[in-house]
Amino acid sequence: MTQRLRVSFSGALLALLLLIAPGTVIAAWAQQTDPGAPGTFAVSREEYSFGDAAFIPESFADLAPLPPVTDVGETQPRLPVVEMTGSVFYPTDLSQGPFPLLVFLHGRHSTAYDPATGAPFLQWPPQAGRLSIPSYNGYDYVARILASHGYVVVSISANGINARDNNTVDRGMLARAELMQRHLDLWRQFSTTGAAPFGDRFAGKVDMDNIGTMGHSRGGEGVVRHYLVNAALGTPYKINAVLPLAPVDFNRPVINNVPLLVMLPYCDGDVSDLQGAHFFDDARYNAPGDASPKFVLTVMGAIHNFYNTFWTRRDDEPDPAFSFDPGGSDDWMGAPGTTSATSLTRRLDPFASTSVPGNKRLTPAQERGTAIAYFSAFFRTFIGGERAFLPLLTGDAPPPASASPPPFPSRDYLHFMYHAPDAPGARLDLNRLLTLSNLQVNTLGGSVGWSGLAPYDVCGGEPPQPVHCLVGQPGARQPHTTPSLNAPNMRGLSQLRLGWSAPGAFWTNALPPGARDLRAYAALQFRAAVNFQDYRNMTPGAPVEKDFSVVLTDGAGRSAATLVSRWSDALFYPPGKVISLPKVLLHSVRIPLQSAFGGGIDLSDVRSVTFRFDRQNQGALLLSDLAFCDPAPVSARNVFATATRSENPVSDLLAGAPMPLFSLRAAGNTLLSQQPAGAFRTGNKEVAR
Amino acid sequence: MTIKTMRRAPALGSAAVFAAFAWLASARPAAAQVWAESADAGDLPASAQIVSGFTDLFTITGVIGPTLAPPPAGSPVIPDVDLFGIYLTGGATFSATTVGLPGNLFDSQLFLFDANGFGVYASDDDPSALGARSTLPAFSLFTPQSAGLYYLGISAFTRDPISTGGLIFPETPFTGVVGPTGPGGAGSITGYSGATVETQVSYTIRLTGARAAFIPEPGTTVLLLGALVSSSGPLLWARRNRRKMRAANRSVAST
Repeated sequence: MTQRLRVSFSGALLALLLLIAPGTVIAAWAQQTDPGAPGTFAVSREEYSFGDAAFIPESFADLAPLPPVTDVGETQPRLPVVEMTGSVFYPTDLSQGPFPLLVFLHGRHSTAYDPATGAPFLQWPPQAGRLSIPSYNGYDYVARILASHGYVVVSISANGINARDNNTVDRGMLARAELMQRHLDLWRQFSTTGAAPFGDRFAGKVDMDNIGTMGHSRGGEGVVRHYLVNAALGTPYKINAVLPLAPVDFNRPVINNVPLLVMLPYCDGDVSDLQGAHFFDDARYNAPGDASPKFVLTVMGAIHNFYNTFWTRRDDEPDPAFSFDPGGSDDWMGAPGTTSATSLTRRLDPFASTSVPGNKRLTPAQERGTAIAYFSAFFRTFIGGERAFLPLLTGDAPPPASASPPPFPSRDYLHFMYHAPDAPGARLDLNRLLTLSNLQVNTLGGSVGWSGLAPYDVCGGEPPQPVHCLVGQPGARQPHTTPSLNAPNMRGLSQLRLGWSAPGAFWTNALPPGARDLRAYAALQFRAAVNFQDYRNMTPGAPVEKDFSVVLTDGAGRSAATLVSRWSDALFYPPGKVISLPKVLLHSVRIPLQSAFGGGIDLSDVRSVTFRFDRQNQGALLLSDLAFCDPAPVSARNVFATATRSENPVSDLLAGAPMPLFSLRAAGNTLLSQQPAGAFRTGNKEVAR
Repeated sequence: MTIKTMRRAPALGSAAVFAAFAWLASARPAAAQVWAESADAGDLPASAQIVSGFTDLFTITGVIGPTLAPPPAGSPVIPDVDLFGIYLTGGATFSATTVGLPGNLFDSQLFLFDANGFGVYASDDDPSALGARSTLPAFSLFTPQSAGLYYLGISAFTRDPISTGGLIFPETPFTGVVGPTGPGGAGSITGYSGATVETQVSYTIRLTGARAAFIPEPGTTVLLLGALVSSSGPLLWARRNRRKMRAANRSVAST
């Protein structure tokens, strides 16, 4: 049966969970390796509505009314009203409740349409003769799956906000937070005393202290803003996981102390600069002691709209269950028949344009698959307490079947960023690369050395760093430093910008006394991207993936080396050519310390970490966030280690226990499934398990 | 290898004059040469920057975008194109490729026009390399056999040359080399169309089979110009090179 532990990964609970016996987790993984597979609960669906003009958000109170549409007989000015409407998927048998609550918030889209012509409108409420576009029903495909695992999944309508949000400075973000809070107030009523239209059906059946939120597009920033509003109100509701999907980040709010997963569709033609990467970047070191992990999942070949079935057109997805034409479009290609220069140019892109043979775009079904798999993995991990899915979120485990509906796309269509909790034993920052001084002295106070590197500087962070790392390239190609609408001067991700033109170049970080015992950490981790602009990555014959050696040296002078390519495919040359492609995205490279280095050196006395650029004669990279990490707040090794090990994972680490499951990427276009512990070589990739 | 930066010459218009000067240049000892764009090379043959000097031309460097102050806020930004007059030594040995370092123009495009501004061939993306560098290859179907004056253009994707008939070179395929088969391919260049997303980016073009098109010795230049304009140019030409010069002029007229 699905586990539904009421947990949050913060503070003492984290430490507690680190000590949970691993055997049950192994069992859970064995029984259920695909989080997106349908669960055991039968599911029911209901809708509720308190009208299209249920309330006026306080943040809309100053908006001027719009004139009535007299053509259809309206006589009263149109106020900035918002509906209270939602759908709910829930386990039909509520007797096993209370169940955790998930709240979905759609983004900005046309709000109404003419049923005779299909013409879309941004108007609320819809005038006589027009119908509302039910964007909130666009995530039913994933809500149904989550409900089958024991969740109450509510998706709320926000058309009234969309119709007026551009009249506010914050583009309606506070109004979205108000709307979410009102729905939570409503659900508190449903879950306690009961209320119409459900009566007492949900009384005692919804856990208002274990809530996850997901917001798409403007709804993505909306759920972030809601987390802050809820906190400002004294945390009446316990939000334990926040998932912005293809979000805008107009105002640069930052949330900490809550697990965060940002999903970024690489071919997004709407939020084409993937500004939601800021949510991850900005939160990393913002709150000392933040014990919540943060993740980014980049979905190559995905666009903005296919995640919502009511934003997907029938010429892209002919199944009417997953498509709806009014207002919908393939946001990369543009609306049908468009002649805009941007759309015409986008239609030339060899990676993202469906008009170009050999393109790598995902089908709507494949996009939905990534939502099903990773929404489920995230919420089931941090709301449901099913820690076995954590390796999916760190990228250590390959995509599950639900994320890869046929035709199976390239193995490289998912890439991950992971920021481990700031908790003892969970993360030790070696070099955050935040300042100019980090070019010479790392975060631990050790010396930093280099040779043969040009450039060798930091960019993208606080002044005096340059605003962007790629000169002359638009912000849409540099999501980590793209400006935000209402925070145009706020800086982005500080990155080490380096390149080499001959073998022998290196970058090394010394570990000072007191920080040399790495046995408590499972992985060496850093973020990296190929600098697509640097011609050293474009020379004829240059491989698609860059590679270099990572060398650890101990106090006895012994060294052990491994290749980045054995553990990660983050160093790929980013695809695409037009407008907002290609993009620089710094994904995580995770190397297991024990498997990669433990046999050759003493991990209790590591003196330096060296990146030796010895695999290719030249190249250029961007790096950040060099750290030692536990593979997860609840050690993923618990899941995959042998059954004979200690019950105490911390003791396991100190004893050099088997390493967690790491990147199981094989050569070619296939992914390996989970295998017994050991190591083998397939193709040109050595794979650890 | 000697690296020498040559001085920039003013734009001139007569193909015959350039060819003559180029021929004279060809009689000089060869040495590696770098031509660095100064100010802004023009977009069209009439305003092209004529590469001057004495010897082989191996490298051109420059900047796409305004080289002085940026345009005033609110004014339209016209994507820049740089056009250089160069002398091809013939035999299909000419090649040009964008190599960066120095340079950060990501998605370059290279175009070659003959002395009368008609398209010869173009490259957007080099199929042998990652990314979007450009290569006009030697010994290709399109590489000019004839020596003479040509114009080499560089732009950022998707700023493309047009004639009165439209695009001179087709927009796609991106990879490989294309001839002047666009709807405007039969006409000479009159301007450009298309926008770019890259601004103020620099480039380096590596060349083979090319020389400077002009000898910038002031005294000699004046004499030569005067002589050629007064139709007494042939007196200045060495008899042993007449056949070569005629060939160059033929190639200019027939391309």
